[in-house]
Amino acid sequence: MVQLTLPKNSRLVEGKTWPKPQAKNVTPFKVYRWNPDDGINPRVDTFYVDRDDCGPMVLDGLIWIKSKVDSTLTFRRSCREGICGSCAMNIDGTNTLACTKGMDACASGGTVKIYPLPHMPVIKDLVPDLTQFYAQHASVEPWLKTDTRAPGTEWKQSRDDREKLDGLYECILCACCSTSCPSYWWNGDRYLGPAALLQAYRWLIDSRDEATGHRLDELEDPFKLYRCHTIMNCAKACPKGLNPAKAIAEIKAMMVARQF
Amino acid sequence: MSHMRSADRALSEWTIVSMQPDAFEAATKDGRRLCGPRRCAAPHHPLVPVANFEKVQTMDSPKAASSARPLSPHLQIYRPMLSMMMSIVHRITGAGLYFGTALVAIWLVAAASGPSAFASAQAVYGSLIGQVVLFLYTWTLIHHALGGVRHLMWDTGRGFEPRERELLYRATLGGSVVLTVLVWIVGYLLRGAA
Amino acid sequence: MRTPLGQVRGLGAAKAGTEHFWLQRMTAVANLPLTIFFVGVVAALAGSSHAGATAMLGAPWIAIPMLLLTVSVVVHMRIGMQVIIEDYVHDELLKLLALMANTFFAVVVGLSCAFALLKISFGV
Repeated sequence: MVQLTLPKNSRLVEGKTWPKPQAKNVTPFKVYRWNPDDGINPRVDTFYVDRDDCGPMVLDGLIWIKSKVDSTLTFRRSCREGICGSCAMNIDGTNTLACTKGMDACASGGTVKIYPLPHMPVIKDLVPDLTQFYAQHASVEPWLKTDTRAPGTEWKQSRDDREKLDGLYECILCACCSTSCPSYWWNGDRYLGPAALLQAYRWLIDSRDEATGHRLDELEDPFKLYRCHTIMNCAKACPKGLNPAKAIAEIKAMMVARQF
Repeated sequence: MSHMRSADRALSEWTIVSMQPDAFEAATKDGRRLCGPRRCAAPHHPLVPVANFEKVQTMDSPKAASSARPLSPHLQIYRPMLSMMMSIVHRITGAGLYFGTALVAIWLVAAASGPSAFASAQAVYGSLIGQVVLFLYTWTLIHHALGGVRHLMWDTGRGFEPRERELLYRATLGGSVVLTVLVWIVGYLLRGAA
Repeated sequence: MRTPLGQVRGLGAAKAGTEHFWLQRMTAVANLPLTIFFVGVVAALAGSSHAGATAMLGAPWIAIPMLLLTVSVVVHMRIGMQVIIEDYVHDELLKLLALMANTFFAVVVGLSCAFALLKISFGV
């Protein structure tokens, strides 16, 4: 049976409370910690962030903690403006980017609760292992496939056809959607997940692509595609406002359309 | 793809660089390694977590490494949302109706068996507990049916906008309660008239 | 010892799924009017006598939709439960046994209802 609880080595134990700074404006951060070297189960540490010494975003808080309190706190970050997708994590109960989520937008009583992206193997602290996620993306062959000899300039596309890619090409592969999906939690080994499927659809409706049928063939599977039960967590989580659930519905419609 | 630096085409045993079709296809076709991990000049490819390169360099198998790794919390920490709840309720009502069909089958078989069997079935279904079960059964049926209509809408690509979604959830929930009560009122009125 | 891509590609595409999806939707659509009809019949028969119930259920304009509903519901619930089993039961042997039990249950329920309806209709 599927395991709805956490395995033994993953259950949370009591964490450490770090000293409170002498400051007027303080926001508590509860942060998931796991160190591969100390052999202890994951824990949730409490930090206090001095808001007058720090930017407004959750990522600002994490960086403040790393530079002022505990330099071993580990997380991915890069662009700090919502375009690289590195700082995806579970904040305040939903998956989003730490750099675009304001501390004040966290509802749980002023406390910012941070966990790694859900149901993923943890490498350290807030860093999940995304190897499989990237492999799933690779498996949908996310590039233009053509057999016709390439034109001297570019592959032409009408304005209308180009517009079909809006709401799809913006995906930054942050994995917020896939790791928010319960179906992906229980069957992530066989279900491709919303991110890979949104990418698959992005190439399925690209008017320049010549492998549409082959792409559909590859998705004709009870697990790769049809584990989507339109739970909608993906669409609610996407920090870019994209709608993987709708993209998957469009793939299913294409699947039906070619049967009749 | 010739404008790409050769280091960017690096493809190791455990790490997939998903954006380079040429390198990707070439390497997966014949299992050739384009570049040994230690010779990779640019291990910090944006799509390759640094930790995976550590793994490559120590030549751990991915399975051995991940078995020691904890699984991050999921159901335990994800915020319960109406969308998610309505999805699981659709499934639970579906499973309830699945077993509930046995009640219908028993009732029909009792009717086919003769007056005494039918009278006992009617007595059980007409008892207080029977009526409560049937009331819940009615709600389950109507809720699942309305949920089904919502899913059929989604299958046509409609109703995905945030406001539409929330409206559909509320309509399903409210509609199921109102319709269930209505059906029972009509049922009792019919019974009184008979 | 498989590469991540090898794991993800797994056993490839099973070349199935859309028919299941389509059948689920088709039976769902059929179930809607038939269920409304069924609720009406049950409400009309609440507390009725055996003679009254069999007279009503045996009438062709009741018995035929009831038989249609039986077929549609049994197919719909069987493939619906199949998805639930596939989602949650990961042990291969247990999964196959559960899928068999699912089919058996659906057939038993379906045939019982159909037999009862036909017996009432033909009065044997």
